[in-house]
Amino acid sequence: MSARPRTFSKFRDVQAELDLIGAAIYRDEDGAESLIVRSPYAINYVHSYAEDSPFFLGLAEGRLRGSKCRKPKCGFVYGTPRSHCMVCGAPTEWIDLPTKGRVHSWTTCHFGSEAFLKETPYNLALVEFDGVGSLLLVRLKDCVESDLYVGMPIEAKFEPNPRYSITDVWFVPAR
Amino acid sequence: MVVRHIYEYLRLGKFADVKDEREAQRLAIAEGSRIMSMVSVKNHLNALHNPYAQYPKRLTVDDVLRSEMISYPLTREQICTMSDGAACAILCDEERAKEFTDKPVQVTGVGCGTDTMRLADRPFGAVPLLPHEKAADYEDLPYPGVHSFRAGRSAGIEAYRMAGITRPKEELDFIELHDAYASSEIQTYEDLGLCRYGQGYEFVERGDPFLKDFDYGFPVPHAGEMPVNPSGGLIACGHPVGATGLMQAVFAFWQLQETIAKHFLDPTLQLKHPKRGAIHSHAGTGSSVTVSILERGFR
Repeated sequence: MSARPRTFSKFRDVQAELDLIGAAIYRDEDGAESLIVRSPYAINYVHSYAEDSPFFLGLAEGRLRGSKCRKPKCGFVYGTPRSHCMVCGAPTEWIDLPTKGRVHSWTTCHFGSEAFLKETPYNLALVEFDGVGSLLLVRLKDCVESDLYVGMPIEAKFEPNPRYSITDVWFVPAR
Repeated sequence: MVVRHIYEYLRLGKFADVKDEREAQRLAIAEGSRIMSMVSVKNHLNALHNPYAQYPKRLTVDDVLRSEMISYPLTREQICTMSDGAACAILCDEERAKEFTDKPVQVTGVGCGTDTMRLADRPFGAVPLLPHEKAADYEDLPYPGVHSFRAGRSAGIEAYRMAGITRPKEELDFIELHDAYASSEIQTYEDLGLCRYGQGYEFVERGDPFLKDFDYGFPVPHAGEMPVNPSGGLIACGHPVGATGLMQAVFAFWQLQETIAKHFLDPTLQLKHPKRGAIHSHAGTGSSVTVSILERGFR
């Protein structure tokens, strides 16, 4: 067997070799050689949703929840959880958002972070709801790039086996 | 999500007469992509004369459009690359500055604006106005949505006020701005009041942000009116996060000192006797934006 990994002087080539066999030798400009290896690295991230908890619990019940400013004179309505109003600073209360809305803007991601790379291309949309003064960013499924347009009516779908993450909700073209 | 910017200003502008909604949006996106590509061509080409730039190249609009699709409709060449780099500047009082150089540059205005991290959370409201604008200009505009950076607008207002600027396009000689995307360069022309909201695409087509006497491969009749990113910007210099804003400060400093030829070993990018320039930098998703006004501090 050949015990010695291959040697490269460009880091891009080292990266490719690591993808392939997990080890490579990098030779720098001065001719110094270093063995580079790739080892798996993972951690569990334990965190609280704190004041946002009702939002994620709501998704599990098939409810989409936003926030409304408690001050009657203001009453600004947000399409996402906000504990305090960004317009007047007063505390907010939870409200149920409509499950139907329209595409305010959209993109199709042909690239993504590692977790989503396998799913590319996928669509992201900012949803606008009637009577709501801010937007909600969601995945838009069951449609492709050429189907999408600003103003397109869409509706929410919920994950039957919730994982208590934002991926518990996505939108599809409204029927 | 530049699609909204395109929708707001091209679908409802140039293509307002097209009846079929999807067709109109397709035409608007094609037009917006073409104009964003002109920005990419500009920045890459300017950078051919900047030895500090990491991605200098001569491209055509078609090269940019045909490069790899990243986030529709933005392609690889319309997006900056996060890279490694360093920059430094010495900030001190006027007396001390004179000990270091007989060509100091003065900071005459600073501004910082903020907005929420999540784009979706930005509440719709009125456009914060610059001195040369009226509320009536933007009556029906759902602002900022995701088509504009309110933080950039408020940073600009603050910096201009401190520097006593009321007509930015006339009173600034150049800007180094945060072109993380070709789209955000166009959005920033509007945020900083170089043109009104909605006129960013025409601003490019007229050629205002281009450099004079350059062959970009398409006509730029107003070239030199308001040079933007003469250095090549983030798109062509790279985006060494953390150093990027200072990199712009250094390029602006050399412009105002008129020492570009010395530092770039090439006089091409030196503007003619610039007196006042602006630098503009983003953090996050446009959640914190700074604008600084720099002026020639010597006779």
